[in-house]
This record gives sequence, C-alpha cells and structure tokens, in this order.
Amino acid sequence: MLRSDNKVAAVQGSLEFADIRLTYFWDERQLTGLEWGKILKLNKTAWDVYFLYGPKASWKKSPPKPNFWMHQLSGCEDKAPFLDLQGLEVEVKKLLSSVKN
Amino acid sequence: MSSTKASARIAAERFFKFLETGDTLNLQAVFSDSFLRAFPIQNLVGERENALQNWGDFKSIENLKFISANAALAQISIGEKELELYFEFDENGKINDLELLEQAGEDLKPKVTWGELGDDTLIVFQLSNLDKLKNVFQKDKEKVRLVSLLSPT
Repeated sequence: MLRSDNKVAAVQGSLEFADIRLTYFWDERQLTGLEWGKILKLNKTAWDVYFLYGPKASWKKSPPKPNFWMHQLSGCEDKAPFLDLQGLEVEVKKLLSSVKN
Repeated sequence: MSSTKASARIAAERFFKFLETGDTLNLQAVFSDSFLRAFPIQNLVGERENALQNWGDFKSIENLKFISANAALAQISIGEKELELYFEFDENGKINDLELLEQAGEDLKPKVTWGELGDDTLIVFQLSNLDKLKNVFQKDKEKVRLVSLLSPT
C-alpha cells in the first residue's frame, strides 16, 4: 500500500513477532485487501485491519465475514471500531472462552 | 491510541474536509502556530485552487496511515494524479508540516521482486492467489483465528 512496501520489508516485519502458530504472506497484488474490501463493502482496499474469527467460521467460496474486526482506516468509522488493543484483547478472550465452554 | 495521535487524526481529517470542500471555518485550529506563521490559511486556499485548476477535481482521499508517532501518510487521487500527502504533527497533534508528494503509478509497485530476493526465504510465503491463505484458514477450523492485513512498512 505504501511506496516503501516490498518483500524484504515483509520478511523483516515477520521477524518482529514469530510464533509457530503464525503464517505470514507477502501479498504483492493486494488480493486480500481487494477481497475483504468487497466482503465488508468498504469501497476501498482493506488494509491496516484486524479480523477475528470464531471456531465455526469456514471459508467456502469467499472468506467469511469476521465475527469482529477493527481497523485504522479513515472513512470507515461507521463500519467497525477503530483499533484499540485493549478492546481487541477483550474480544479475543470472549471468543476463546466460547471455545473452552 | 495516544491522545496526541487521536488529535492528529482529527486534524488530518479536518484538513481532508478542507481539500474536498474548501471549507476553512476554524481550519487554523488544526495547524501549529509555527506552520501558520510560515504558511497562512490564505496560502493553503490558493494552493488548493491551483491544484483544482491544474489537475482536476479531488476524487478520493484515504488510507491515513501513521508511519511514526508524529508522522502519517495519506493517498490522494486528484484528476488523473495519484499523490501522497505527508503530515508531521507537533506534541499536541496539530499539523506542523505538510508535503504533497507526486508519484508515478509505477512507484507504488514493490521495488524488490520475489525472484530478486530468492526462493530460500521460507518465513514469508508469496500469495499469488487466495487458495494458500484459504488452506491455512481452513486448517485452523475449530480454533479462534486472527487475520491481519498490514503494510510491512
């Protein structure tokens, strides 16, 4: 999305937070942003977005709508909350507790 | 988000409104004193009018992205031009510097290709279609999943 984006930067970024449960992709053609932009009816490419999916979410023809999401996009204030790490953590814990129960 | 960053976002969005509509009501409140001394509101109005005359109407202003604690970039489409608007904010979240950066469409493309980097990097997978991501997503069915779409820079 930015002039400075490239695969080297993507690799460097991935090194900042590594975990065996994580998978990183370099999406040179912005396929994901375009797809989720359509699904969420954003009228723009989705980026700087954080989607939470529950255990029942299944990707059939297209990615499902997230159970919950946050973003840092201007002009999308009516679509979902602006990113707030504490708020996101609360929602993650809610979903995790629903799995445990 | 810090209160300074929240103020900075509000300042930038008020400036976007000015770009789109020409509305200058209380516009000075979003700029630092030093910026206004160097560049009064009337100069901004003149610059906006020049841009509209030379390039055409504003089509979109979007994707305000903080690149550091006090700087952000937004993408502007005006006429046939794609531009980047660079903001710097002071400690109160007021706009302290503005730069409109012209760029050719080609510049938006990554400068380093997968091939140039080599195939031995296994940390990050190239996404040539959505099937790979779908497979990872479905592999973790029955679990809680977080998907983030982020710019690496």
